Amino acid sequence: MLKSFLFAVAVLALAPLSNAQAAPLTGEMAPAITATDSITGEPFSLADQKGKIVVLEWTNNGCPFVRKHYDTNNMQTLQKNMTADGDVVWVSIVSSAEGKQGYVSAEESNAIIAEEGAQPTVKILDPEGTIGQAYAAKTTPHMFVIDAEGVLRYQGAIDDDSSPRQSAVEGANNYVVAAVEALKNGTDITVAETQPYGCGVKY
Amino acid sequence: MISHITSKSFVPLILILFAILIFPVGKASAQEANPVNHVQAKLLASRDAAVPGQSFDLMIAQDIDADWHTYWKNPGDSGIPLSYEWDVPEGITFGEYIWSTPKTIRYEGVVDFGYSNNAYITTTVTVPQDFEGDTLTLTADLNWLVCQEICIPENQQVRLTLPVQAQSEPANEALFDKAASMEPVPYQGNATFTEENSTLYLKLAPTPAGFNAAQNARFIPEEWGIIRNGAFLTLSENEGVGLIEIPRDTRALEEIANYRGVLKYEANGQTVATDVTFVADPAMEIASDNTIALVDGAPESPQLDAPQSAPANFTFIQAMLYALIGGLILNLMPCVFPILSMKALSFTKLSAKERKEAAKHGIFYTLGVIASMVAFSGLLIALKSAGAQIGWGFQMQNPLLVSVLFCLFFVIGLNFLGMFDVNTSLGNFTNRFSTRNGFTNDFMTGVLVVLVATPCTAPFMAAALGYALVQPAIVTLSVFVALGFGLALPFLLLALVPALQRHMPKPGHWMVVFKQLLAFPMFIACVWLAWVLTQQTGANGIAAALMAAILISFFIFVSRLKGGLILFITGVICLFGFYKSIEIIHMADIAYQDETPVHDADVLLYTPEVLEEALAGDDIVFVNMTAAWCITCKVNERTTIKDADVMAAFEENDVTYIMGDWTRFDANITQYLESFGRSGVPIYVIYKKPDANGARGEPVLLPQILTPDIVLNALENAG
Repeated sequence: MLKSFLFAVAVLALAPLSNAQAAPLTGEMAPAITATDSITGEPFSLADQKGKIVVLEWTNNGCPFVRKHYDTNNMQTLQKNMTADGDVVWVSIVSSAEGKQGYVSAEESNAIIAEEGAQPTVKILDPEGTIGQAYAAKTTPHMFVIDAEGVLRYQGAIDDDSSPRQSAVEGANNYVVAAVEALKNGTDITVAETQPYGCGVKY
Repeated sequence: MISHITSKSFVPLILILFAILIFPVGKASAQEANPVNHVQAKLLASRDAAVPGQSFDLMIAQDIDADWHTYWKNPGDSGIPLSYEWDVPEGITFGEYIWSTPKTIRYEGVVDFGYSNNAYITTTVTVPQDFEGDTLTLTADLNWLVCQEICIPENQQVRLTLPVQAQSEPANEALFDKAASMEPVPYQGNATFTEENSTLYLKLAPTPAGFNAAQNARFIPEEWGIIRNGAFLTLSENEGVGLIEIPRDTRALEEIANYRGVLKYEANGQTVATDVTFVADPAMEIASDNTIALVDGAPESPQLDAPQSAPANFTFIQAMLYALIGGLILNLMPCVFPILSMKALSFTKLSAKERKEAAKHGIFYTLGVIASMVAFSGLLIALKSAGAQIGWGFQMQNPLLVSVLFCLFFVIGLNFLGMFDVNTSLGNFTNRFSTRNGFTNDFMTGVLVVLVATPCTAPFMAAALGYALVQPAIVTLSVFVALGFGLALPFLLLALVPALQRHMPKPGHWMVVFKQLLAFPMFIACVWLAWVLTQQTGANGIAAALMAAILISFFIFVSRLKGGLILFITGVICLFGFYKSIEIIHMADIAYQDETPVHDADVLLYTPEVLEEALAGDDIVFVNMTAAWCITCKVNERTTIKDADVMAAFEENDVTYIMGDWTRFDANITQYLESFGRSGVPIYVIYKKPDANGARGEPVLLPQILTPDIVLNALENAG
């Protein structure tokens, strides 16, 4: 009895350490994702996407940094251009917990997609934060690029201008575009990891 | 002195006016504050004028709304630091920008570095020798992100205009002093780092101030990706050289150009923030011999971020102070107050000769209080070192002692009502001083006061005593001495200061009435003790205790009528009856222990296994450790836990409610209390809902005095 109690105390004592999530390593297999596409209601698995490049976008409709990219049509354009010829799968993920800012139901999510003219291939609602924690997604937006073999090749910010101003979109160097282009061309990704910017994910 | 001029066009005009009047100009500034912003920024100078060829300090001050926060230069996992864009005359140069020491702001999986309430960024502005013009105007466009749950980008233009003069006087000194006190202190020494097995090792030779006593240690790097933000540090020290271990983040070290950061910890009651730049030393020796003393590390300090004052945050001086105040408050407790009142009233009847002795009476009383406190803590230390799992209030866990206190209070009440006078040395607390009795009287009154005071632990004594009981014996003793001194202080002052004695009311018939009146608080204390007894022993125990009290009263009654043989026989009969009563109480205690205490159906009774099982589940867990003799617990249960809103919130959130009853001794509960640095009840702990990995984060310790709002807010945050 004493031992199990001490064990419980030790577990509690160590629990805070898990708060500082270990990020997945760039260059290693990306953490698995099995979820439901909230647009179609169909199951989605990252493992089934072999042969395609997968872009993960953490999003939160109410975050000013997300708004910067949607109100300028920047994100929608990226989604449209990248997924146009079918070799890139764009996955938008909402990890806001139920009751927290940014949480949406499937219906609300679809309404937002329609209103914004967003064009992700798949949208995943992750109120439990399982996928968010596995990727150590910190901010909205927080971007990940996974190659055709399922290896994580880029993680971090969407571009190099962290200002929330809408005018900052123009002229910014987009890391995701660069990474996807490099993967398509078979060249090296010059910037594979950056500090993501934006609002914190509301786990 | 005008400090704010709202209309910009007035600025030059007023400056000219000031110049003509040779009026000591403070600062004339135009701050275009936006009233809807959550942050108000200001630009301030350390001098009242700009002098060509000289420098002054400049400050960007942020006034942040309550509950909102802004970010440090490295915001951590999310957020954006404040940025500034200057519009200044040519030739003006800025020195290094120094930011206030940031705080670690935790949300679930996200750890940020930033500020709440106030933040300052200071720099040095140098005015060139050949600067021309009557005024110097500095303008900045400030942009920042302010977050609560949502984040809002805000901007504000700030402007400062200073007259250009040959001389200047200091300005805004208090604010610059405050800002300086919040800045990290540059480290003077040799700082190196290396990486091994995903751990970053930082070496400091020599150690910065207070390193050996560091608690709550954090390293806040200027660059992202060096360490896992908010990770706990392991600090160790060996022959004056400090070593810090931190889990590494994934970003490659060679990509990082800047290894500067703020090392922040609490030591000796103060926050120490050191600004350190580390230099790579791949050949660094990571000493791992046994001589290294662990200063701070996660497993040893589970409640680093806990909002409540854990013993880790409690200094010796604070504990002494709290104990002293706690002791003072004990004087007002219903059981102590009447006794002290009577003692104090004895001063009204002193003759001039006796008055000279007053100081001695006070000192002996104080000695009595302190000696019994020392005896008490000595007993506690001895029992603890012998392995007993006991804490403060343990004496109330024994129904025999509760019964004895019950009888004692009852008899004191009868005495106050005037049924009898006591002339034994133990009981002569109401009579005038008698030199014949020496000072034993005073000493024994001190002992009595401690005895009756122990059940009444004032809420904020809990923290001090909790601290005391986990410290070395000498510290424990010191804290108890401080407690005793606080308890004795009012009477001691009265005894030592004749001026106070003269202010005592004149003796008269009112004193008889007052004494009788004071019997009633004693009887109320009796009711409370009787109630505790029912919780511990049930109906049999309480009946026996009442019988014992009546036997004592009867014996006293007989002793006033008769002496000799009759009294002796009565005494024997009463003693026998008293012994039987005690035996019944003792048996009732044992019998009652086997029964499960009465409790609500949906409340789980605490055992470590029950808690473990609950924590393995998915629901919020609420732990309430209580005891029948704990008045604070009862009040909280009445006002808060049984509050309709709180009960509804428990229902709604599927909270697992675990209650531990410490009315009688329970080693598991004592251990649980100690794991939070407490030695007594109440304690209220909320375990948050587990995250995706099943981790629940740090348990949240609620204050000892609850309100429904506190619990509701805590539940909301735990969901």
